[in-house]
Amino acid sequence: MERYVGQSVTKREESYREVTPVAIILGVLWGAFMAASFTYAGMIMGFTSGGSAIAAIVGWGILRGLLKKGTVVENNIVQTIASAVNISVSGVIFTIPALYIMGLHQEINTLYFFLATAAGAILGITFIIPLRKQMIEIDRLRFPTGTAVATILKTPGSGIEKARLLFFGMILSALVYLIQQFPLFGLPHIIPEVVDLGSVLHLPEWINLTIALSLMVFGMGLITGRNGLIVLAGGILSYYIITPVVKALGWIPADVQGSAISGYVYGTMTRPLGIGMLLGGSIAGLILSLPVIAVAMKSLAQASRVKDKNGNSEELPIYYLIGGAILAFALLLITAYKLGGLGLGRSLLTALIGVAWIFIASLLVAMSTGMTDWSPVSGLSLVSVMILLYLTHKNVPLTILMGATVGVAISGAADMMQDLKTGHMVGAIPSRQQKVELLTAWLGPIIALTVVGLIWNAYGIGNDKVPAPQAMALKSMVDAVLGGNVPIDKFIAGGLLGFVLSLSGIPGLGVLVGLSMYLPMLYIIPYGIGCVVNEIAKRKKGYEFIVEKVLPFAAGLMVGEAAMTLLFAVLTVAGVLQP
Amino acid sequence: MKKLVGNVMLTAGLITGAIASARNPPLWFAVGGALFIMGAGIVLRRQGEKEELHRNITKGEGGEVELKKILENALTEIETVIKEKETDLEKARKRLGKVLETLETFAEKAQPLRIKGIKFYGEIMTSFSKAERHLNRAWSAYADGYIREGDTYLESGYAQLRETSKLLKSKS
Repeated sequence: MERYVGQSVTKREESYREVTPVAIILGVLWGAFMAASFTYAGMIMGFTSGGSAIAAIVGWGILRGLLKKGTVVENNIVQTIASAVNISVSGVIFTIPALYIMGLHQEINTLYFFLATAAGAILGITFIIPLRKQMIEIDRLRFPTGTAVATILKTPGSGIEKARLLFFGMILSALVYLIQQFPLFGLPHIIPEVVDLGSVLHLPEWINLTIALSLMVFGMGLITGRNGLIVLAGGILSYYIITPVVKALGWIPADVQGSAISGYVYGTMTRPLGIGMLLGGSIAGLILSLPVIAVAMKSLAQASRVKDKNGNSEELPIYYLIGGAILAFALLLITAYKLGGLGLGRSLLTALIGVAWIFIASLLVAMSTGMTDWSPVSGLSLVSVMILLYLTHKNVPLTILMGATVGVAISGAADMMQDLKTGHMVGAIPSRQQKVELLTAWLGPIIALTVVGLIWNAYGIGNDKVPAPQAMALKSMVDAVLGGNVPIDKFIAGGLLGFVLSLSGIPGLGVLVGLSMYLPMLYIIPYGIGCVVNEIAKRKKGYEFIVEKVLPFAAGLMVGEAAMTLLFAVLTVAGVLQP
Repeated sequence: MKKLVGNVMLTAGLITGAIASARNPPLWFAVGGALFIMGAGIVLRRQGEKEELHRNITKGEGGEVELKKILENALTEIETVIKEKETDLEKARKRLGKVLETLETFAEKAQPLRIKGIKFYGEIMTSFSKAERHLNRAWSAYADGYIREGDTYLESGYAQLRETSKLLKSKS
């Protein structure tokens, strides 16, 4: 039998290694390392990353390189746990630091922070149990990151050509990112991070044609393919049709001039419209999918009764979902009742709407990442804050705490779905992945909250040293809601358009168009170019070419830049870089 | 033709509706008109799609005819894999990899089945996806050198794919 890199012996009789102590320990340790690094980097630079792909590469390095054992599905468990521990970072740093900035953190006992966010991590996972069948098996959503990670996991057994393409993509993307960061080391700026093509082409200032030179985003588009073309079309509608028409019709205040016009239209018109479309589209999608969800539930119930030779079932029983919903309800009820002093009736209403909202928001985020890899967490947080402020009689600390539960839950749901897509492609058993995530995901919020507390004590938050841009954005949202400046009319109009679009028969159309209006054009263009290249390659060379050549190369492009962002986060934590 | 007209109406309605919604405050009358045009476009589009599907089926291309063919070919290929793995496991695994790629085509081509009812589509895809996941596990197990595990899942993936084929035949 031909041997591949790292393959040691032919194990004819051993049971297949999947959930092993090594995989769990490695996943937790690597996830904790990424969570700590990205919490700090996120509060300084405003970005985080899931880190699944990096975890898969580290997994191969340790399982095969050092320990001389390890299987595809075992490494899948490593990346599943690592990304589950790490992913809650974004849910925490988007919300909790806002409490510190507003000086309200002492109004809530630290234990509540841990309980609310850890429960959010568990809820996100339980709520997507029935959606796995619908999104991955029935709707066949692409999940670009999940697909890229599966490509990495399968590389050692896929032959040298695929491995070569993957590494070429990785090195190219890492190198370009490194060169773009040269000014941080005091070196010349050779490759910029963005190019203003509009000024190169002498277009009017109000036409936004700035493009991010990100090979990671291009790679995401390369994997997404046709679905992403709708995002590109929506971006064109938003930036190159609506903006000029709105300007020509004189719907822009006279004091908004030049390049500010594009930002004004985006901030006050198309972005809130996009958020409304996302919501309307996902609600219509949910209604249309009810028969499929019923099939999925029935199939889940049957599958959980079917045991393998070791007495394990492939699907997590449906009572995990019921248990998750009850836990979510109880947690939100206790939090609202104890911390908010809202009275029993209002607390019950808050808990009920909160549970329903976590379910809808988890569905929406999972759908968006499934179709495009983009996750509209900040837009959904705005809606969460708006709903919760009204429900809690504008109790800001309680709203932000519950917002953190929602944020952690929805980012966890999207990550779980990406991991389950990877699992599907490598033949993992879903219940095993879901169980290890349930057992470990709560660690992430604890790590992130501890780092936030340490940063607060050491440097303070919301200053030059730790600007916490995402938390500042949330603070602005809270101020806007308290000041009555919420564009509810845009949400309703967008919601109606998104709802009708999703009835078109094109799966997820409302969500895709909404997402494209919500995203900045900066990333839509490189992403759209990737989608166009995928489509052309598929038509000219066939589907086999996509699987054999395009996917490994695109996965490499995504991993290279992601690895460099982690490296830069670590260098920042270590104090080597001063952003 | 109906589908094309439907698509044009849907796009025109969306553009009009989005522009009318962008105004502060939105032009609700125009938004309502745009929603009506979009609704009419959707009805035409769906009718056109149904007619297209039926035309393809009568011509023997696309739809269930093509899907059945893909499944039958995949089943034949897996039978070859089952025989081949006894003599040349690596060749058999490569063949299995190719089968998995053709199954991706099945998933893509099955999308129009939604027109025949989302429940029907859901049942087919649930069965198909289970087969696909088991075959993926067989591929991984063989690649890792775990022959027994690979054999178990190759057999169950094959059996599940046969189930999908039966289901498709019984429902069409």
